[in-house]
Amino acid sequence: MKTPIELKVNGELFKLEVEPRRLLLEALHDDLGLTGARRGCDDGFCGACTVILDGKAVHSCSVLAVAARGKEVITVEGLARNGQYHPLQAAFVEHGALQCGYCTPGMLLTAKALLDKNPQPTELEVRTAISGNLCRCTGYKQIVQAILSVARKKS
Amino acid sequence: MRDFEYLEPRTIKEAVQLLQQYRDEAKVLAGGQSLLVMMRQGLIDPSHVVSLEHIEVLRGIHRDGQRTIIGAMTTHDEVSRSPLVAARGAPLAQAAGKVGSPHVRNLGTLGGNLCHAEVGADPPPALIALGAQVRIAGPNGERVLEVEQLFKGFLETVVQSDEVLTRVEIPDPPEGAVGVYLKHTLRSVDRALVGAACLLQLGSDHLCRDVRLGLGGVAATPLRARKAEAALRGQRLTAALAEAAGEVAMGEVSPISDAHGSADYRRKMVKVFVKRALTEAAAQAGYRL
Repeated sequence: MKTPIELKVNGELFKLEVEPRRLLLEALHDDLGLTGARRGCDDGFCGACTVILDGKAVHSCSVLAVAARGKEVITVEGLARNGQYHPLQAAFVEHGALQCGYCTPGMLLTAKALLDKNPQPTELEVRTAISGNLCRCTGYKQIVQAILSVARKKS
Repeated sequence: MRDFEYLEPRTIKEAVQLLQQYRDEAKVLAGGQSLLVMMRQGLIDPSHVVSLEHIEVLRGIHRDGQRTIIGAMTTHDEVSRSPLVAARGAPLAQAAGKVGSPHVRNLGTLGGNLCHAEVGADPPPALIALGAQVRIAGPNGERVLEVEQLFKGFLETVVQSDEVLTRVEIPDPPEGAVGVYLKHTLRSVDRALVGAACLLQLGSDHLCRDVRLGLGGVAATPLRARKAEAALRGQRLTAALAEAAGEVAMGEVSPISDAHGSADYRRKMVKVFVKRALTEAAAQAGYRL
């Protein structure tokens, strides 16, 4: 049976009707057309589905949409402003921190959640923060460098 | 998943009533980092899900006399950052900081982790080493158990279908006690191949006055390595003794072989990590083994 929920996504308020079994990831895809968050492992650990929920990077595949009622979600689609890359997106491009791009939305959002709370992370803190975002292509080095470069620019 | 009814009780009493009403048809939802994964995989399909999200009294960490109380809905992230837990339950702070990934730790809860009882979960051996207890609420009142008594078998606890684990209670370690939790895993997001926790009390001349060893990932349930402890108690702690204790611990475990490692490998790693845990704990007390 569908339940009405209200939630903010990328700054905009949405009213949805969802069944309790609807995952946040599914609501983003099917109810809101936001496909940036990816379905990766079906096992709750790869991070391809990462979104920011009330300031925390979480696996949207392991959150019920009904549990997101009244909360704020940020997806990768909410990063760029007026056609301009978010500094993290620009840094990822500059540092070659993506190849196939599948992990990238999750990486960007995890990085944003980190820098919002900890603007000057150490390399170890960056590596720990992205330890829940698996990347098959890059070997992580350029991703870490891109994130640190944004942190350095802000300081 | 099949559709289910989503229930949001506001109190523990209400939650217990709902669980009594729906019994084996219902599952308790804490952080969802284990339950929802299993539901998506079709391993379980409850017709009713009782979410503990709105029961505020289940959250938070506070002191009560000479104990640290952790609400069951406290997240691993909160536990790992808590100054109270760092001060009086360091092995748990370390264990909580190693569960899954930061994403999992942001939502996953200590109570949920304990009730899920996964092999290789990080908090249980740390709590066993700390001599912690859990409080469980049911229709007939509350009961308190040692953490070790909570686990019955593979993914099985003694928590009944009409009960809710409400909090974890950690008695203050003795003055001067030191402890660690070490996790052996190939990828940080995985469960522990071996999780080794110790709480160690050293007297003068490196004498091991008391010790508690918790092991996870190496049997169907987390366990206390009592024989290894007995080999240490009352003896001068040296590198050789730590190794010998590790050897004894190997005989107390029954690991399985799976894609992450063979039983033989896991057993050998028990020895390595028991020795390492004792060594690192002793180092905290200023003793280099």
